Amino acid sequence: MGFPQLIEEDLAQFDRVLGDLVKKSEAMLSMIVEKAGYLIHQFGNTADVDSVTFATLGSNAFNATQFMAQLVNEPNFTSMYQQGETYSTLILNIDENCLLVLVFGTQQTVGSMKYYATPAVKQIAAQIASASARGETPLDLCDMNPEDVQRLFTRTTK
Amino acid sequence: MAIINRATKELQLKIVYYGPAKSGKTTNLEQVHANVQVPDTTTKGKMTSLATSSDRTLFFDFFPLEATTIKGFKTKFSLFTVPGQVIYNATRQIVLRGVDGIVFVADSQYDKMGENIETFQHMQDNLKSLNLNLEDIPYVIQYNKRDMPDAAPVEFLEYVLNNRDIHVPSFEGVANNCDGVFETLNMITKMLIHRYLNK
Repeated sequence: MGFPQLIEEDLAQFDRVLGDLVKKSEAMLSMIVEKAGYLIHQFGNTADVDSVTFATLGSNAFNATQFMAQLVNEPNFTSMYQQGETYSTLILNIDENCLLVLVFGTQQTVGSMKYYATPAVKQIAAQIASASARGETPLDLCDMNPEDVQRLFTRTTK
Repeated sequence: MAIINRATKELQLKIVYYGPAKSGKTTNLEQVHANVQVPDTTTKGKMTSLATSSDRTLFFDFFPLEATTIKGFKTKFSLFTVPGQVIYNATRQIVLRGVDGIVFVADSQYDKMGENIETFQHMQDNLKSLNLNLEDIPYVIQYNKRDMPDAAPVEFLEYVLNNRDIHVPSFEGVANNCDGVFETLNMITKMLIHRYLNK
């Protein structure tokens, strides 16, 4: 099953969980990222990071580690840590479709990030499960004007 | 797998440009990035290329692009390329994850026909490994490099690459000059949006 449709209630809960995580862990930024590369939600200092690109790169890097896991007959690598000189990043598996990405200063330890992130992962997973259980409402685009999508993108004239 | 966010009224869709090595996948993305008209610059993201020192795609190219709001929903497309080189098959599988639409960029030159066919077959195999079926995914074909002296006739390319139960839209292209690039992009985005019509 794919990633569920989200409503306000889901985003409010994500906001609470990520906000609490950033506050306690002192991470710079936390993100919920779908494994195909979509940024779902973020909290923290979003001004200094191109979070859309970061999310895409992070999810693909994590997916690559799953291939590495297969090569050593490991069913799953559940997290990925990259240590930097100023900032580090920790990516944790939430569920089949989703990841938690943390960016934090190197004055923080990865152990403390994992300590605070573990309950956050469970809370996010529970909210996603609840959204999945709610089911999907089809997008009501049936009275859309087909002309609107004939040419979504136009080339600039030179 | 589209992401529908009713809270923020956003629809996110992933398009992957797939094809043999040096067929022009990255060039397509570069041309879109360089030439697309946007209402304001915030709707056009940065293009990210993970390339080797010799400028060949190592992992993928990525470019987020926002379309006009459709029925109140902001539609965002994530455009990806895969690396064309044969050794990077695992990487292609990773990039295909969650794909909503595909642009197959074929090289029109006669001597590239084998690579076109093999890459198309591998694409189907890679989709199967992700429990996806090409028949269920909107895709278009671009016959690129039409300006090359040994480009095969389009009828021949159609026979070789577009000869299935469902005949998909195809376009001639010279991606270096941006020819056919926007026609291809507009077709695949239209097909994706239409998937949500009357659904």
